Amino acid sequence: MKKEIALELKTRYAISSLGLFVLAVAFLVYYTTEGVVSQSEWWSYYWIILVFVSIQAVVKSFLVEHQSRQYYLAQLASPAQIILSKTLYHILLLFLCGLLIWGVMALFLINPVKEPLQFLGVLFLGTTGIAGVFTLFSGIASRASGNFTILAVMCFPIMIPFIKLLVSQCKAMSIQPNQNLIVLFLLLALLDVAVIAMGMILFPYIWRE
Amino acid sequence: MMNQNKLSLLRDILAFTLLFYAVIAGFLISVPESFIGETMRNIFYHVGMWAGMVVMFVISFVQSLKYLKTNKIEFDLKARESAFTGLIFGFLGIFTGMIWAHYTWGQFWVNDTKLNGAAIALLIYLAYFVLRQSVAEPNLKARISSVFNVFAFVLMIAFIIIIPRMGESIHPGNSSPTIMPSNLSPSIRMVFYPAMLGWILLSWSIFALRYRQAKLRHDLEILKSEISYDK
Repeated sequence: MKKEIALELKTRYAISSLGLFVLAVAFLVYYTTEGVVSQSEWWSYYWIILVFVSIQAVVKSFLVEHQSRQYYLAQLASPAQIILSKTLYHILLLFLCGLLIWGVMALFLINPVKEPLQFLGVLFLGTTGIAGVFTLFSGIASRASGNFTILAVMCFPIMIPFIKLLVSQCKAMSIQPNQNLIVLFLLLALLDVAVIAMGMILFPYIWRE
Repeated sequence: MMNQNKLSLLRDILAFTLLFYAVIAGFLISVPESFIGETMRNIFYHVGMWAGMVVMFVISFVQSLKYLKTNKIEFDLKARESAFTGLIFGFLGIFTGMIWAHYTWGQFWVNDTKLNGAAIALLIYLAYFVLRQSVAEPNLKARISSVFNVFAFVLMIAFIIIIPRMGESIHPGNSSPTIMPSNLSPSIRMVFYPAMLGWILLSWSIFALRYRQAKLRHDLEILKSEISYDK
């Protein structure tokens, strides 16, 4: 379903508004902290911004789509394919957002990333998990009376432990680089696979009329 | 049918008796000397409430799965009522825990992984009810909230297994062996196990009663709509 990605990319304004959102929030953090943040504060800010940006990015995927286009999609592909393609697209989008936030925050504040490759790995696995959960929930929210609040209410409680895990691991990484991260990576990958698989199993129940 | 009624009556009586015993005995027996002193007695109430909550959430998860499989609205009613009962027990557990924490740790709320995990679980089930309120159409409501319930429950369990590894907890339980059931003194165990069973049975009784009420209300709605359709 690469078509989906192309379709999404057409709405350029959405992506540019996301970019601007990232820029504004990063500047807000810089301005309110007066440019002085410790490494651990940096990581907390980073993931909190990323979660908020993720909700902004994902919320439009089902909500903005017109009813007619949903019917068109439903004829074109099976529900599992639809959720998978949307999730893949969101992984890409959120990963790019993560990179952007990193760049902007490193520019304004400090750059606590000691091992870029390790960080990119954590970022990728983290955004995969976030994208998996948020995509399914945005499908649910679109069937509910579909507003932003209901999505946030569903997403946040579930994601708190996940974000906490990511933040504490990132903090540990910047304090003590070069540690063995295989266990963490395996754990995150396992969670991601579970989230996406559950999404593919459960999504048809939301999708069908 | 008669048999079922007798069984549930037996369950209600047993729940009442066990809790009656737990309240009386819980305050009368002597608890062993320890750094938490007399507050140890809270173990008969606080832990049992959490046990009731966990049982209710598991029932809710199973009923939601059953609903998705069969599309029978009864299962969704059961899922809703058990989630609600679990939420009540969860809040009771939090309040009794806060009182306990106030006397043992000096604060009502301590930044601890187990406490925060409990708060997150309650938030998730509050979200479940907010979600239910936001959908008007009954079948869609049942389907969507079942999907959320199943997904949220599995993730919650996954995270609860992971969270304790992320940090040390001062709360007793699986990771720290200070107060495990096997470490409890015999006199406490004499009250603790009946109290646990009592709380679980009580949550079950409340759930059964709530479900019966919900089912009757549901049937009434259907009858009403049929009458207005006939007219």
